[in-house]
Amino acid sequence: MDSIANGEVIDIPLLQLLIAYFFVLILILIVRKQGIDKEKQIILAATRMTIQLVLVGFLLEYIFEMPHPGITLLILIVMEGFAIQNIIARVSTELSFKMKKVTVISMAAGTVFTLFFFLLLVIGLTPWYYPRYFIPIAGMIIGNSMTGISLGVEYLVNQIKKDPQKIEAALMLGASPQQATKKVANQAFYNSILPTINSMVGMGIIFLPGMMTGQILSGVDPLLAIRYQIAIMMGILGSVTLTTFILVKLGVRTYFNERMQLTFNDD
Amino acid sequence: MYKLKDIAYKDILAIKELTLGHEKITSISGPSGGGKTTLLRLLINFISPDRGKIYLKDKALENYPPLELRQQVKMLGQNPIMFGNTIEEEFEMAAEFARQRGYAKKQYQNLLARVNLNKELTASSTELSGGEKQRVALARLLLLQPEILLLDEPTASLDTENEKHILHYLADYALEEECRIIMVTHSPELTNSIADQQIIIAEGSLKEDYHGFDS
Repeated sequence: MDSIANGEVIDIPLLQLLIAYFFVLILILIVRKQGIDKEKQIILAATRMTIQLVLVGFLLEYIFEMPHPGITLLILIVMEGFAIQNIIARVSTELSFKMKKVTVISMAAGTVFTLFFFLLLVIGLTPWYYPRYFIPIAGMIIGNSMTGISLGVEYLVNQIKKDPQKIEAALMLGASPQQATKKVANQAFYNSILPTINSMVGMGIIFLPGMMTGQILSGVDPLLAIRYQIAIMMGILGSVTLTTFILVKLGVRTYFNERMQLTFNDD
Repeated sequence: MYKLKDIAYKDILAIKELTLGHEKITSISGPSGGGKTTLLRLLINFISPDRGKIYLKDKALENYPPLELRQQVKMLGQNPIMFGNTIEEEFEMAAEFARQRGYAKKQYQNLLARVNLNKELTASSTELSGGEKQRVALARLLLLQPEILLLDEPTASLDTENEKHILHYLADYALEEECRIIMVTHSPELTNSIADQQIIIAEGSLKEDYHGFDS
């Protein structure tokens, strides 16, 4: 009891951890009973989660013990790579090569700028590559930007494909490509930032955010935990804003050539 | 105004030589799928010919800065597309797209009257019938007073009475505003009564180029 009051973390012995898998068992039983043919998928998901987290746990322990800027950057690149791949796979229509390039550029530029801005100016991290801070914060910023960009690119690509006549009708009146696509671009941008805005509204009342919960569980003073949470939300907002703004601005341009002709670059 | 020299676009259209737009009104007719709309799209530089060149005022289209070209040449597509919620917004959007501001509501109302559309400016533009939308789209375009107007079947959804009215108005407009009109038409017998040059395009090539209307 004393140790808890002192803010120490309660250890979870391996055997007790196994008890937690009881919930997976319940799910499997329900699925089997109801004839929903998804047991394999559930077992696979639980197994994947376990293996992935164990590996990450060991990896992080190793990295935290010997911080190195090269390794931190390597991890950043790997995270960006997975995020970009995820965006491209998630969008319902095949993206053109140019659009894929735009996705990479906006993701990289937006997240890297925000990440360093955040780590150096808000947290004041020294050395800048200290992985205990760098990696989880990069993960949150990249993960949220990934969701934002996925929504934005999905809307942008589908709307332009669905209604090119409206864009051409504006061009016929003398509009520039930017003017002709303004409505679509604005809506794509709004769709991208909406989840972040919504989660800010519900935060603290409807749910306690994961990072803050984690910090509180590991003994951090709630008032410090909320400071981190507020700061990281701002960082996420900044990154989602920047990445999707770049995406929308550059993305629209991939549909036009230098003669301002609407092209469908299905290359 | 326009000169086409040995142009071809995919296997849709091929024209050895053609001048058009020198006279006030040019009509383009011919069976559907023959390449008429493609010709208009080439003229406003929405597409570029695979070979050959198109000149406007002796300058090749590709040498015009795109926005400068589309400042002079404007087009009305076959399906009228509404941008705003009200008729007034349609005019405002057109003015914004063309970067020409400072019009008065009175001008919108005058244009509506001239295209024979008895509607308030506050009326919803999305709930209009096809023919009404077509007239709003035309009025919106005429507000901008381009030098050259490309119209793709501007009277397609109109009844005969309104069609006659619009065609006569266009003839007056071309005269008053010093504007050249090149229009694709589905009813050449009506349009030719006001056209100075009549072009027939079929199966992707020029079948007839007739100058000779005198008023």
